[in-house]
Amino acid sequence: MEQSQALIDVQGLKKNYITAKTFTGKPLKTVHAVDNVNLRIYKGETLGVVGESGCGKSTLGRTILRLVEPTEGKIIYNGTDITGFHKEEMRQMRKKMQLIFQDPYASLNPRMTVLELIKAPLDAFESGNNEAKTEKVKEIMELVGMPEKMMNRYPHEFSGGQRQRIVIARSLVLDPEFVVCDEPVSALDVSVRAQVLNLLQKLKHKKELTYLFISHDLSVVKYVSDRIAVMYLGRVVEIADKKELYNNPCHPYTKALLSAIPIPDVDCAMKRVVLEGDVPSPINPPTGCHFHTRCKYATERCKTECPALKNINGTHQVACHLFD
Amino acid sequence: MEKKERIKKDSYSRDVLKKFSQHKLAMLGMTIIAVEVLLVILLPMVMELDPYTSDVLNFSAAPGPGHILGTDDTGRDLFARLVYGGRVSLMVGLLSAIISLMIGVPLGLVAGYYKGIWETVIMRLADIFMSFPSMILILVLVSVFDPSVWTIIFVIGILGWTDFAKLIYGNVLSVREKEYVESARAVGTKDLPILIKYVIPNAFAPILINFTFRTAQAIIQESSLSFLGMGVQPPEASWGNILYAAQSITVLSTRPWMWVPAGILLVLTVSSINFIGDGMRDALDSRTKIRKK
Repeated sequence: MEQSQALIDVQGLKKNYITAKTFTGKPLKTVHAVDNVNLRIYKGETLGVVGESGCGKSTLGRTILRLVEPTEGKIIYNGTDITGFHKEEMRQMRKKMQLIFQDPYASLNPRMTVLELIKAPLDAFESGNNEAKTEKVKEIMELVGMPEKMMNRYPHEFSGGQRQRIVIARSLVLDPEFVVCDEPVSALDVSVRAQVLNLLQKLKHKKELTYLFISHDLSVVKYVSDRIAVMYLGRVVEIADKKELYNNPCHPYTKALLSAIPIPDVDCAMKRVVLEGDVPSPINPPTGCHFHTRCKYATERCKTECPALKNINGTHQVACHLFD
Repeated sequence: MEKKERIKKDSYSRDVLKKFSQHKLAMLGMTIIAVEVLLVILLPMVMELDPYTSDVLNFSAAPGPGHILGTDDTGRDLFARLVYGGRVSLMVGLLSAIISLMIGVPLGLVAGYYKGIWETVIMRLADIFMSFPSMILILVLVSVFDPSVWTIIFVIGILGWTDFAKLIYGNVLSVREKEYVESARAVGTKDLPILIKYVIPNAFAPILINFTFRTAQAIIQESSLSFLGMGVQPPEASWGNILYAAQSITVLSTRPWMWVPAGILLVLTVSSINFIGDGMRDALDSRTKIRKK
């Protein structure tokens, strides 16, 4: 794809959670949820982020939006470094960057009507009088496929798919440029997933959005993304265009991950790469390459030296010593 | 159509009301309190009641035609004193609970929402308050500020803030981590609207329940104070200082009319308020189902 301007440039982003302290307050156990991530998200693209649960995908998304404060690193939005922004400056930025939540059952205040919920972002920025706001809510409701007459109902009266439409409407009512979709369909029934995904695609084209699409579902990511980043234990191990990644996965972890996609054909012989052992704890991640404990190609070097992301084939980047 | 939407909109509060009205004890409590409040307000308007003047011919008189509940040791009409005393007792209970709520809730909210230094200062302060035996503290304060109805209301009210603060603090701690609060922050909502629209409505139910229990407690506290002679001072009446007479063994054993009615009223009131609280707790708990008739 055309390498237009980077909308988001994440440099050396780290987020540590201290889970235990010594008596004097020194950190005893630290979870490295996001560990030195470098990412660029270009205007108008959808960057998919995949990885198993607990690998730091959601934390990455929230840290980019600064809903979670980064421990280290920079987030550059459209050329401006927003890492040092104060509370109010950051609040103003929220007009441009939004989050679509994973669980539509938990992310809607049960005591507010649909109208109030979708109007909340407009209220926060005082954009226009009440009628203009209501008009805008009606517009966006139509866009996400919610009948206007549902406006005065409460979230518990809706199904998961409809709730997720409300969540999407709320995130898009301010006309943001950049939206982090944090597993927007994983809490939904399979039958409504496609509808919501298509809605997201449609809105993206209509409103010229840029998505960071977080998911653990490879088929979903494949469907929506232009480029895909694979994460393992807080680090990005591979980034490539969708086609390139699916046709030519390089990192051993990506290979294993892709081979786990079920193929809906009983006669198809699956060549699965089966990984041994469990994901190590992010509290004490392995030294060197985080994946070396489960990688069949691991060498001595992998145990000590952490591989950096390197370009191997145009824009295809991989962090693995095999490709030096 | 319009009307239908309205009904839908209020479905949560409607459910709560329905469940509350199905709670028999709570309805009984409500009725008793309502009757008491009405009597206490209306009786002095329609009847000529005089709780202050002594009937010099009838000291400690047994119930009879002139005085339906008899007179106390200085000849004051006990029925009139019960009515006027009810005004004081109910007012002390309600107002001091309101004061406790108004101090405790904002402090607990701030402590739970902002955490950090606020949490440390406010919650440790609450611990300090709670570690005092409150009755003794109240006794001291009342004697310093001279016992009048208003001092008692304020002292009981101010010392009661810890319950509310602890309760709402705990609730806010759990609510602030909810995704819908994070989502409000993500769309740029400021702290104050988040507190008002997201945190309070979802953390308030237990406060309402506690309010009733606190009212009952305050009534008891006022009565205990008056019983000890540190509360509402005669000639002003309160149920507690009517009971003060029962400190004498002769009164206790031979003149039951002087203390039994006040005692019964106190027990009745406090348990009614507690029943209302129980009913509210069940009604606000979304896990209890509405019984189908």
